[in-house]
Amino acid sequence: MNKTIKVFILGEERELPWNTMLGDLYGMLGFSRWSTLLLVNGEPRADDSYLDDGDMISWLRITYHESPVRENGKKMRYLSRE
Amino acid sequence: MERRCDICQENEAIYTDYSRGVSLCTNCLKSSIRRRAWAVLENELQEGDKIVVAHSGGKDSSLALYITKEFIDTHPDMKLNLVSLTIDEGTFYRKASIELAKKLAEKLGIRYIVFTMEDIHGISIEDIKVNIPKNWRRSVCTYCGVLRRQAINAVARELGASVVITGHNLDDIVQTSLMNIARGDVNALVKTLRHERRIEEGLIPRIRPLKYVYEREIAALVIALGIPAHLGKCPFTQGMRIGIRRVIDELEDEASGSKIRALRSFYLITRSIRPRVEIKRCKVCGEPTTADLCKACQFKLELSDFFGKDLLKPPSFEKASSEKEWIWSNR
Repeated sequence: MNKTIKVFILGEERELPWNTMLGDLYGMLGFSRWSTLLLVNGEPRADDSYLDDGDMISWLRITYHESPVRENGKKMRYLSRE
Repeated sequence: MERRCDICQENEAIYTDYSRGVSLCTNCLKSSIRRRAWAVLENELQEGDKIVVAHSGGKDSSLALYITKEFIDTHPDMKLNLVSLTIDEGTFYRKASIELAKKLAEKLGIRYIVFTMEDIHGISIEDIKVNIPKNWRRSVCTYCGVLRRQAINAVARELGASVVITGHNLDDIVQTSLMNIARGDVNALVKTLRHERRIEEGLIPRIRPLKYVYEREIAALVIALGIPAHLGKCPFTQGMRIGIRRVIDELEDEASGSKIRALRSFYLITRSIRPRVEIKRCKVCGEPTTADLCKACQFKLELSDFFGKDLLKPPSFEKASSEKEWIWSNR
């Protein structure tokens, strides 16, 4: 039987393989590591550190930039000359 | 399970540096960032400089202030003087960051001064957001960037500063450079990357100590050191930068270190190019510009229609003149 750990990701309990690294969560959650920083128990941690049972994972948006889709659902014109 | 730092092998690693393939603890990350930032400061600062740090209270400018203060404290022979300046654009978002900027300046024992966009230009970004039409071709960020940049330069000049330090990081500069290339604006690219001390009369030279530091490194260190900084995002942000950022981030994921290599390449490419621009004085406000009207005045003229009143008047620096002596006096 494979060993698992239970962690809280953004407040929700999740069961993960025991050898899950923090960096693996970026892909699982669909976050870019360049615009988001995942925190373990409120602190930054290396992406290649293993998660422990009971760890609380939160995230911090590190860029100022929002989704490239406007409220009306239309894509923004990136190359508009200003 | 604790992951030890690859450098000191002692403390817990808090950041993975993909470009070097190592994970670092707080102390080693700080040393790494400081080494890069101090190299820029040592190269670009001069003895007796009066430095204004453009300090929004966000993570980047807060770390730039923190690192510059450490540099000054360890280089007393250079006789450097430092003040922290915030331009309050008048957004609800800025209120929280001003409190944190003030807190950090107090903690570091640095004089802190706030100027509002309304004091200087007679309009706030909140006013612009409310008054421009919903599908207008320019985003609020375009107005904010131009008016804020001009305000920082002009206030620093009126305060008698010899240099302005900003918190621009590696991601910002690579994005801006690529945006200039995408627009075909080589002059703007050269201006983004040039770092001569004396550019033109009226333009205060800018130093960007964090230009070789990833934005992600800055966020990790600011949290780990508990530096007071606002970590929220501007509610108005939009524009071309978003798409450019995504492309560059994907490139960095594919090949670690791409951002640093791209910046070094941009520097090499532009080193021998002189911008083909003649600096003149704006006919309305007298600020340095390449056209008859500076960009800020062009925008104020454009906005006058939406505001239903004439916004085109020279910026006001009464406060800067009155604060000038106090701000540089010894404490």
